[in-house]
Amino acid sequence: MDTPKRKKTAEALTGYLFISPWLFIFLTFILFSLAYALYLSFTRYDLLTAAKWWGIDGYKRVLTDTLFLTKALPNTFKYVLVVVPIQTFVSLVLAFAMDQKLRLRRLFRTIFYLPSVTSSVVISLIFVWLFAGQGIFNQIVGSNINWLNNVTYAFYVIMGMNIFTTSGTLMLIFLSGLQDIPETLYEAARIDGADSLQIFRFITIPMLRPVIFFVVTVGMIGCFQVFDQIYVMTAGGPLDSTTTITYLIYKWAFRDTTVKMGQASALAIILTLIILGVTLLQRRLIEGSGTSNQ
Amino acid sequence: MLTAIASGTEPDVFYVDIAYYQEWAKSGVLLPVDDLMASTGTTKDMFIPSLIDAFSTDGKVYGIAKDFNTLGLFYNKDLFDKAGVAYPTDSWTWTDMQTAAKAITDLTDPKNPVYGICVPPDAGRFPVFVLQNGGTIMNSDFTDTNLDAQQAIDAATYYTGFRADKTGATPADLGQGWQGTDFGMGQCAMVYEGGWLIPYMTSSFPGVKYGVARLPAGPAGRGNLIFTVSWSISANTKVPDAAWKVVEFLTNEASQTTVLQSGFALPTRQSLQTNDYFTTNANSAAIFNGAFDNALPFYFGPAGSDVTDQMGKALERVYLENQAVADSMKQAAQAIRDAIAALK
Repeated sequence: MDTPKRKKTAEALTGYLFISPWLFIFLTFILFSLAYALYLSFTRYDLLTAAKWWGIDGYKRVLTDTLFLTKALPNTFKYVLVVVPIQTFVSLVLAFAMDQKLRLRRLFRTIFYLPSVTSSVVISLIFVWLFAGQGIFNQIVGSNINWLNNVTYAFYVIMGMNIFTTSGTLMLIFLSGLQDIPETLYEAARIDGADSLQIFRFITIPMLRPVIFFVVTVGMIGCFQVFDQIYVMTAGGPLDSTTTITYLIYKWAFRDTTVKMGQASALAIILTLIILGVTLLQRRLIEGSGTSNQ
Repeated sequence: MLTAIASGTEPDVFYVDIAYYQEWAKSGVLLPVDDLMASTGTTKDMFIPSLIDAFSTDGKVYGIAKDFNTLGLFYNKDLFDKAGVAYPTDSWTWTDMQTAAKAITDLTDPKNPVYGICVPPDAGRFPVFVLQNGGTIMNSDFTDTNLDAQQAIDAATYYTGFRADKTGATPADLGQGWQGTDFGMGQCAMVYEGGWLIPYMTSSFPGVKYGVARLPAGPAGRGNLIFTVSWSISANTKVPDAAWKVVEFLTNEASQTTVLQSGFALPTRQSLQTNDYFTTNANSAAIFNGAFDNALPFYFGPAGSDVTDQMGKALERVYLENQAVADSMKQAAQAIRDAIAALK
């Protein structure tokens, strides 16, 4: 006979059983790895000999490292500050265009979304060819610049590629946000004599605010973590001009002759803290703006 | 491989690159093979001495070099003929190479430029010039670098001079990933490369006529690099005897003859040094003989990846930012010293 209490336990058990596959993956591959990285960040570890505790020395090394201070940190912030506003704007404009009753808009939506579902390594290789010395881009524009081997331009090519690939996904998010805006608001505006630019400025944008903040946050986290494109296209070069925090983590953890796993873990934790800080700031802005869905 | 070692799941037998060997041997990752060698009657003198030394620490052998490579001067015969320049000989010097590069360079067609030589900002090529100029990259115990010494600075001035006076170019300048492609396409008439370029030319550019000469001598004489990989056994192996049998098989005469005949790399067994293959394949012979031209193993100490990175960057700064050679080399030396200090 089932008492209410037993029933409740049984229900909870069933619940856990249902989420167990996810829970298992989360515990082993995320929570455990995170905790272990946190532990490693306080050690000195070259993978060949056992990890040795050395407190916050690893963090001190990171925070005084020239490559981190002069290249990886500023480059990462530059990347975020250039890519996030542009990709947000581009995807918003795309979404707005795709929300109109255009001919073939389904086809265009698919086309704009395609880069997002393509492997980043493949896109990176395509861009390497496009921007090679004798690549298509130079031939079209008539320039003779070796884009990816140029200290000034290489980073912007990678930024441009990231905007190109992520705008599709963000466009979809905006599109769903746009379709949530009640038609009555537009109708009222039109009756009041607003032109389409005014409607966009005074109806669409304010109504989209929560979505914009979401897109900015997701975009920002993605930009802070940029790695594969840089690994494939420039390996942090030329002259460290495209070295970002994640690339520096990779260099210390896997590329150096003497592996610096502890120092790399410390930098990974620092990056997590940076992202956490920026996200919390974002959250406050969302709640402060008073347009949150909560 | 490193992660496999860290988690204790490495295989019984594996490759060890010369660039990582010292650190692995000192950390107790590798099994000394002296006793195992004795068990099958294999002796050190069956192999080229410098290659046994390359994989020995404190008098113990920790691996058998499976094969090796040095650098040779690959030259495109058609481009030399077209410019009316005589092919490189064993007695060539730096000056001869400069003269030839100047004569061969033809930039009249901007779409299809022909440069005398490829000079990549590559730490796998540049050090030979330092050696040929009487310098060294690191001191003998790898605790300091000599890249800011005058010999190294002058070597860098010579090396980057080709690009400065437009008789040389980097693969990136020409839109390629590595200079082997430039060489095959006839964009560079000369490249410093190892035996691995031979099978690449055969498969990708079978029509190109080329030869391989000894590296030209510098003001202080000869210099070359040795690239090699050993077959080593894990210190944790449960089956050392079986593992040794595998290593023995992989480095025996029959196995090494197969590698030799592909042209890809050279045998480490003394008995194969007089193999007929060398008399009929002058190109492979030139690369093989490079081992006797004051050749150093491609190993720059526990901060090795920083040393190679910084050498590349020193050249890149000259190429891309027009930095003065001496300043750039000094900057690289300082960065290397910082990296060495960070190991403590």
